[in-house]
Amino acid sequence: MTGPILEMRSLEKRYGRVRALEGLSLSVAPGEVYGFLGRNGAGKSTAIRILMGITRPSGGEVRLFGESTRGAPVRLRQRIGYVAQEQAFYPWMSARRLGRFVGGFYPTWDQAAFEQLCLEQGLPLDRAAGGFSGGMKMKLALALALGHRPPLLVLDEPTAGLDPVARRELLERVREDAERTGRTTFFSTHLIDEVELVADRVCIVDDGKARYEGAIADLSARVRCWRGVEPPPILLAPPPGIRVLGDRTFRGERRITLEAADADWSPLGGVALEAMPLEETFIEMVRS
Amino acid sequence: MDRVLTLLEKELWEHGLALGAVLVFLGGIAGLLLLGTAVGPQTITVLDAHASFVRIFLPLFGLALGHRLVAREYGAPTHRFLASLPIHRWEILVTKYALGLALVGLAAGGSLVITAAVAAIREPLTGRWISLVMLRTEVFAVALWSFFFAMGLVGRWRFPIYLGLAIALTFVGTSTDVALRRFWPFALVGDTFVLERLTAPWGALGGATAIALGLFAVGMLLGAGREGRLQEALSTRMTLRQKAGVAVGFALALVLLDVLDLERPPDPFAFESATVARQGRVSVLHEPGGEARATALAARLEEDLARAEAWLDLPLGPVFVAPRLDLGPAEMEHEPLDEDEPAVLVRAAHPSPELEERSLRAFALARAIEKATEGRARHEPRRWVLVGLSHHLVGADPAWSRRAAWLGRRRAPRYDTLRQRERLEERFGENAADAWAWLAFDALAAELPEDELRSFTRELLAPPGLVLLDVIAFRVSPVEARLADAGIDVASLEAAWAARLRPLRAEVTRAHAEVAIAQDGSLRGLRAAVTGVDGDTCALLHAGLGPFDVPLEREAWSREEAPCEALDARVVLGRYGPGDRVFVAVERAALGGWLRLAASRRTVR
Repeated sequence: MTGPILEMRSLEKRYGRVRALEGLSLSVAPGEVYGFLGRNGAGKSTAIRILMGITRPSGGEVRLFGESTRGAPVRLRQRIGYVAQEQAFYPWMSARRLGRFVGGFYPTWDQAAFEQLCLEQGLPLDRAAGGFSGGMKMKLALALALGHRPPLLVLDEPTAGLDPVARRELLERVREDAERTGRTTFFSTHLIDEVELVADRVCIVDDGKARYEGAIADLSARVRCWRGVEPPPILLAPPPGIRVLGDRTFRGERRITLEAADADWSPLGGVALEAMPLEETFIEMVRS
Repeated sequence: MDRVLTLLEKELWEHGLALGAVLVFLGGIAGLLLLGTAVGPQTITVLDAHASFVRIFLPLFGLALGHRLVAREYGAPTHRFLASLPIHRWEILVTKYALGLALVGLAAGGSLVITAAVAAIREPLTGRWISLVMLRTEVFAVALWSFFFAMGLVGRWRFPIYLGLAIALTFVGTSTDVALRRFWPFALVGDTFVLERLTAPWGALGGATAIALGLFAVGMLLGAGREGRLQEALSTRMTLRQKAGVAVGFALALVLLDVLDLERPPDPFAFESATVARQGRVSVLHEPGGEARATALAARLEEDLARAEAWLDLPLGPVFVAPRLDLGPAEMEHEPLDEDEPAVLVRAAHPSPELEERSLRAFALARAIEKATEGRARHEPRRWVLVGLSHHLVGADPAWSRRAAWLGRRRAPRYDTLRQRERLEERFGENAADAWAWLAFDALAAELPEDELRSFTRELLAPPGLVLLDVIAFRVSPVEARLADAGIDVASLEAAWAARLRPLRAEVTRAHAEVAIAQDGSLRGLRAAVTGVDGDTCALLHAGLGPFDVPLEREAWSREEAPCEALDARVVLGRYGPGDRVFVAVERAALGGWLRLAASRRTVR
């Protein structure tokens, strides 16, 4: 497949008067690890629920594998591995039974591969899942999502509630799986370091809209800041193509954050600007 | 299809054990019902066991199933896991509905198959009959399950709805004339459920099916509405405010129902049977062919009531007389009706030629006066006046003289015996105590001009007035005060009474009875002996008095009848132990009723 494996086009979702998504558009190419970054309540989970066919959009469209999800969500969903934010397995089922149960919904399910994945992650196959820790449940969810060898893996804030070690292990496994299998991975989080660790491209979503979509390296190049006491006048009224994201004074030091659409800073002449950590960039983008 | 089968397999794994246990339990219940119905003397058909199962236990099974299969899934976070799998929401709901339907249908059908197999041993079952019962059963099961399925999806509101429905149905069933069994789907399992052999109730079948479809649609809408978020919102636990709101709502509903119930005038008591003779306000229930006697009795009772009304200047309510053939000729029974009901209902062996009709009329009249005076006339100091006047208005019966004379051999005609009516009745029985009161009143009637007697009785047998006046009147003993007002002192009443008693005494035969508590090994026994009587029936009466030694109700007695000469062979052994207080008495069937020859309260040593 040469076109995008996943596309959201002007996606909208309203809950009464609340607008959860307002024209969200993004595109995920085959084989890439895509970070879907946003604050809590930014609309990430709503977008993923629409993608999974759990919720219907109020407007716009989701296309999976080149097909619209309207009308045939089950067939398309069978090609997605999905890890939800919270794991709500039947507590009486063991990992093995859960595998058999979930496998009944996927024509390509491979029980042996699933059990192998569980064993690799140190999960007991015959213990009731109700007694698993949060980290174990997340590993089990990942194994369940990969058991039918989906071409697209969707993870909805998978590290929420995990301790740092479990978090790191999960992220490494996701990255390693993507590199080994070439699987497309759509990964939502509100933690910028996770995106830095695993993602090739990122979409920053805020208030239901995409603020940025592109490579992480490009994002760093697009945003710079100036620190000092008296800013040059050009920074306060920047030329076209550059805009001020933030202007704050903290402990007597003034800091102006700027964004250049094409990472072209030449219109500012010789003004000395600093590169920013990705986390700062993200914060300034969503604050603006 | 694989998805549905996978889901079915999961449901069976999750609920199989619990549902299996419930099915085994229901099987046991069905077996017991079957056994009870098969050996029951009133059984019309053994299929009645199936009817009981479907009416009582199938709804309980549906309730449990709705809770486990539906409510529990959506009340737990697991439904989110299920929703994340590639399966349509409607497929989940339909699978659960179908599984529940299969189980309810299986339980209902299984009950019929087993019951019919047993019934076929001795009943001429036909294929059409069984098919009709099966059709009714299964359509009812569909409606029932559809209801519990929908309720399972109502989440936290289902128990308030169950409770509300239970209250509403109870109210409709008990306080209105609406017969729920006439409505769908209840009509399917109503009175004719297992008895109808030929005709299918197409209207009820169609109506119940429509209700089932409606409930299924409601369930689907709730389960799939707002992409499952409606159901998710419903299934969360109640907040404290909601709980308080529901509790207040129910309290208000109960108060409202109570008020509605109070405001609704009760239906007047009436005999439902067609064989009733009516004269004025008197209705006498009779057997076919007994109309003439019943009409005559009703006419005489109506006259008695009219006479008493005029005498006391007191409106009297309707009187209903029902037959009870196992009562003796002088035995009457009063069945209390509702407090607001102006009528009285008495029972007697009224078609029997041996019946003491005057005793029945006096008894009914006394009950009517009691009712009109709101029970005041029954109070112990006035009771002899009530009994005496009612007998006086009906007219003397020779049996009363004999009973009074019999009692006169054991007690002197003292005014105290009239005032202490309950003690007299406990010792000598109701018939004798009534006759005793009548004779005293008769002596009084002879001593007083009629106007004075009328005025005397009117004041004593009037409805209650102001409580304070009543208390004061009670303190000064109104009967004696009124006697004094009429110029009669107690001594002269006693003298006139004794004079009436004297010539009657010779008519009475002598009989003597004794009761004793004997020890037989470690057991205590009650024993009685009667002498001076041959050929009559006697009875040994006994009752435990409990810790408070209260006056006895007739229903509390144990009674053992035997020929009088053989009564001493009847020993009540081991019923009472040391320290027990017991009432024990001996009665003899004589002078048209039961005369109590001996009675006492004893402590078993």
